[in-house]
Amino acid sequence: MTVIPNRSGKTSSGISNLVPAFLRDERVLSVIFQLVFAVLLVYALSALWGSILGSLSAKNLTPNMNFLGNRAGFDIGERPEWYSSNSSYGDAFRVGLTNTLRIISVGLVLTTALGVLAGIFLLSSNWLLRNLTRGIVELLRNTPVLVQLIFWYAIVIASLPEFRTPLTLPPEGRYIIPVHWVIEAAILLFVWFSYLRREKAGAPNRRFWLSGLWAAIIAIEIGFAMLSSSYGAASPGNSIFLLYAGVSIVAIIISARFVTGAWRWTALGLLVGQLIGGCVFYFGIMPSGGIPFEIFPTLFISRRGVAFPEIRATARFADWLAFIAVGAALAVVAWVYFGRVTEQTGRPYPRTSYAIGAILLFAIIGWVIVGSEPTPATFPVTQDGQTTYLTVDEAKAAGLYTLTEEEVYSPYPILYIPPVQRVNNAGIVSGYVSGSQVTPEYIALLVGLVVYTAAFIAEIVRAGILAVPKGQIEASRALGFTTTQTLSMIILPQAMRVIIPPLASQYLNLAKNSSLAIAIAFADIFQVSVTIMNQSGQSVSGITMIMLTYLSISLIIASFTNLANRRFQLVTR
Amino acid sequence: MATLSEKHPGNLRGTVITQDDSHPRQPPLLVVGPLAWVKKNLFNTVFDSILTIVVSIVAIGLVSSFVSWTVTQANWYAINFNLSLLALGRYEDTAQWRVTLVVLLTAATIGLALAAWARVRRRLVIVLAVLIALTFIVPAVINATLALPPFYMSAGAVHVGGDNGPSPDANVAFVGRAGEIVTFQFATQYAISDRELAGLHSFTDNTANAALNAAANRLTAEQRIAEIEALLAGDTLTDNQRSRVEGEESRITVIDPVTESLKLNQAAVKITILNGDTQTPIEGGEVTLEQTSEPFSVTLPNDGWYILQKEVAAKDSLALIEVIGVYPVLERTLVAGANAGNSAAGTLSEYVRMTDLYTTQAELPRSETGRQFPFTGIITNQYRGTSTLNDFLRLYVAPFLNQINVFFLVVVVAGAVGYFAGRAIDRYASPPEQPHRTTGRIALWLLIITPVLAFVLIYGVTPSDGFLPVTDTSRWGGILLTVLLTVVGIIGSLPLGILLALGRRSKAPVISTVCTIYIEVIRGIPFITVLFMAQLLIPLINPELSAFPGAFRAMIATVLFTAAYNAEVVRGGLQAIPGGQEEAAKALGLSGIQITLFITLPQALRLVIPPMMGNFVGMFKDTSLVGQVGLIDLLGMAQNVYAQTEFLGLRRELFAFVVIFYFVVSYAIAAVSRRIEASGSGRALKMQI
Repeated sequence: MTVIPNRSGKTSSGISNLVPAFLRDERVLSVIFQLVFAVLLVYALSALWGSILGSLSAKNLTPNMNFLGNRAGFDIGERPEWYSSNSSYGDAFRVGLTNTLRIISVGLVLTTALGVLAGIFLLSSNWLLRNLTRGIVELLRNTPVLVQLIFWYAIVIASLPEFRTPLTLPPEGRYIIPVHWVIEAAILLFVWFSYLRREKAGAPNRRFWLSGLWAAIIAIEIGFAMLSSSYGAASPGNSIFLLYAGVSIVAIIISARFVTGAWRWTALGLLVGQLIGGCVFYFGIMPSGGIPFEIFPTLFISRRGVAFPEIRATARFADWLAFIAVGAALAVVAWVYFGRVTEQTGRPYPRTSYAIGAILLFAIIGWVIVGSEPTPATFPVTQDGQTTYLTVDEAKAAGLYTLTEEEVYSPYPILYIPPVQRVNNAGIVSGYVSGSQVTPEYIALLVGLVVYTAAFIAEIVRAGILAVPKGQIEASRALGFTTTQTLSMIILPQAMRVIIPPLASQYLNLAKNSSLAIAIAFADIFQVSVTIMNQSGQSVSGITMIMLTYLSISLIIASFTNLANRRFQLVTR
Repeated sequence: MATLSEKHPGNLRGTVITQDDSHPRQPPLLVVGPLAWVKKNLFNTVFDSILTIVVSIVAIGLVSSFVSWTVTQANWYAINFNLSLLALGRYEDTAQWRVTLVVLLTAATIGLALAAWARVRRRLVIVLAVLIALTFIVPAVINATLALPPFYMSAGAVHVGGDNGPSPDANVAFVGRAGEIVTFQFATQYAISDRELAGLHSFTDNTANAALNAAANRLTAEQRIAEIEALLAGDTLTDNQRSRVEGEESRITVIDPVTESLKLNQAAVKITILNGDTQTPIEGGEVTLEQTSEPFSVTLPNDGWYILQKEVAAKDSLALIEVIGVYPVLERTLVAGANAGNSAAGTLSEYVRMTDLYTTQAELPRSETGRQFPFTGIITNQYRGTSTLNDFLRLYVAPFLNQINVFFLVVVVAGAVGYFAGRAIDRYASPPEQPHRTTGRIALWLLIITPVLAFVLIYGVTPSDGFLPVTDTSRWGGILLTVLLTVVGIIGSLPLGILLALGRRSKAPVISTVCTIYIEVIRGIPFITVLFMAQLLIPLINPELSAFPGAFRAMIATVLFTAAYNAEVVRGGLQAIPGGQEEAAKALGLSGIQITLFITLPQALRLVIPPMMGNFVGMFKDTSLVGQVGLIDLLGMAQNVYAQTEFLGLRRELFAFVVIFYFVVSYAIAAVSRRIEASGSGRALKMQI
């Protein structure tokens, strides 16, 4: 009997001839096997589904989507104005979805920025910065994100100042810039620019003088501050001065004789500055007074959240937007045109600056033109059913010129509304009159997710940059590229190829981890859905909706990152 | 010089080195040496210098504030007292030996595996030995050299801070041991003025604590008013701030000096110590303390409860007494009997002394009316204020080390036994040309058997009256639950992941589609969703399954979730195997299953050890999510502890413990993974630890 090898190379000699030939064909076997597998799978799934359906219908809870129209009956901490406990389950679901998207969209941007920064820190030549970042990154990567979220929520945010006495940024207060600072800054700027001009003119540059000047100014300030804190106001005739001046002069002579090299001018500057500072104090000639200015806080941070300025569009916003659109169109034209010119002639043009400049120019022109349109002298006010016409000042005095009116009658296209605390009659802060606020839950979730994900992104960025062959960087240096050019044209495009795929997976992780909001009672889609499931008993429908939501979010993020990936991949023929 | 000339052609004899070597010159300061290192790595450019200064300020601030919190502010008693709760949850006390056995078995297995596949460096042995010795020596030295802080106890019939404020108890019960000396004296140094009183930091009772808080508040209020006056006098305030600050000033009230209004330590105190059982004064246990009297000491005759009676002669005076030898205790309720389900079992209380964790089950004495005496419980009597380094070591570090040192020693000894057993097998039972073969096989089998055995031991097999009664899974918690979930997750998800990976790569479209859909769907949804699904849907499949323990549901969810991620890793490994391997195997006549089992899969698994370890670290961290479905893992247990009245709000301490645990374990796994990777993917034989 001849041995006939079949497709897989096996010989059929050992197999009984009782089995018909077609059953020995791998292709047929494969189909049969798959059929059996499919039948078994379908059977198992349908049995599972049947028993779930059975026990649900026994409780009168057959899975459906009709329950979405029922009254929700629960309030949500993080909600838009239109939602109340009378809204439907569907509305509650929508609120949860919005909250999830708010976290993910802001989180992705922030975590990318923080992660790239930390990744660059991990490669810093500064030992301290590099190793401190390494330690923090390792700590963050090796502890559960849930622990970190609860840490931010229950420890960090809970230790912030109380609502009534929030931390204000920038620190509120009345500040004074001393006149002598202004004089010193002017001198420094003048010297710096004159050096620059001389350098351009081809004269030898002696910038080390500048370091001496810096040192002198710092020494004057320190000496003056120390003396005046020790002896109060400037007091001519203070005997300590003679000793002080003598020591300074001896030190100057010694250092002028013995200190050489790069530190010479700095040392001399320090000592001379010290002497001048003493003289200034002794003779009381330090110009007193200053330029006062006030700083109002734009951020109020307390354990009940953060209040921050709100930016609102007014009635004139659309007109201004039109100007910007023209500018943007022009920018695109300039970008494309100068790009082509560079390609054809090889002459470089700063086309990015042109584009930004075009947009900025039109924005400013638009702002001036739109703002110059006169506002009506009076405007109608409806009070107690009667309409009266008031000027802005009168309305303000009567307390009738609120944000709603300002949105309509303001001469500017955009309103910047800083948060202002509402103080009750007893002088106690009870809330905010204006501005926007976010809850502590939102901040804890955002910060927790951003910081956790950024630690992973930092590692990815570091690995990506290290993956660029060193020869590339050396070659770009040899060709005369500046550091910025090397970074933006040589390192980043090549590093991006390595960075994007794992970065995409971290983006997905951030999106999925946002479901941990349930641990800190932030009303994201998962938390809201769990509440809905508990109330309505529609667990199968609820889980299906959660799964579909997260799958679509994942899909959207993945499609964007795939686009980016394609853009950066090596083009091969 | 013949040899030299051969090596160095070119006549050396003609070369004259003229350098004067009699005074070797120092190398330039900033080219080599530590200073050069500092310049190069920290102060290379101006920007670098500024960066260094800013970063070091931040780093020093972070580290020093953390250290000062650890030493002076944290109350580590929350960890010391709850160590067993955090480790095992409410696992039955009578079954705890099983967990110990499992830990020892695991340590021995790891030791044997090390003997088979790695070499233990001498450095590791020395480090371990020193660490273990330290855990015994350090607490002994601390206890021998440092004194316990005194207890500041109040007496009198005065309410502090108004009529609703706390007032001292006339009788207080405390735990003492035979031979201990209790000393009483007036706390004169703290009764001088509010400034001294506010500076008191040690054990205090409720009333004393209220008094010193009042003193501290008064000082703060005074200081704030002075600050506000200074602010108002200057010109750094905006109008808005000015009105706010003025409002704040008008709301601040400064009370009268506390020491004066309470007439602190201005009257004599009569002190009696009664035996808790007989309620009669112990020998030499009666004294009247005067302002001028010497410290009064009494030696306690036996272990158990004592009652401290204190009576102040003047009605309106509060006495602050410094007591040495009396410490706060914490009541712990135990369920009597082996099984918590046993309804006949009563509850009984045991009392743990805070300073040395001495535990007594003696019953708290009752007064004639049948009421229990108030005792020095730690809710009302706690270590307050800022502790010093001495107190930190004596109160927290020494008891902590005393709790763990024996366990630590036994575990390391078990590991060593395993290691040396492995070495002995190497020497006597393996063929000389393959010295590790037998040990390797034994280690492999043990690695498979130990987890199964561990699970059986921990869960139990027999009914409640047998040798290994089945434990109540709802009482599993703490580190035990976290580790169980992780181990079961690893063991379950690895084979499932391999199957899914093979399925996805299969040429059969039905199987590959099903596997792909499973993998992608699971990877697209959060772990917590899978946990909730397991929790919600399992009872729906069959109503009888609603009794299926939550811990097992979580294990199923962990396995199903991690398998999808493992599958992707394994698939990556399979793809990395050169096609020639498979072709060669086919040419040799191997069947498809044989090719997978003996050719591609072993190579792929070796390749993917590091990413697989990464997956397992991720899973280990993810087990913290099970707290959201009602299980009490380490994180959940920490949250439970800081919700108790005794440890209310001690979040930072418990979080520090949780973070350290997760960090140490994850970092260790990651380090081992890095080492395996460095020794050539999966060639564990070269590994040195």
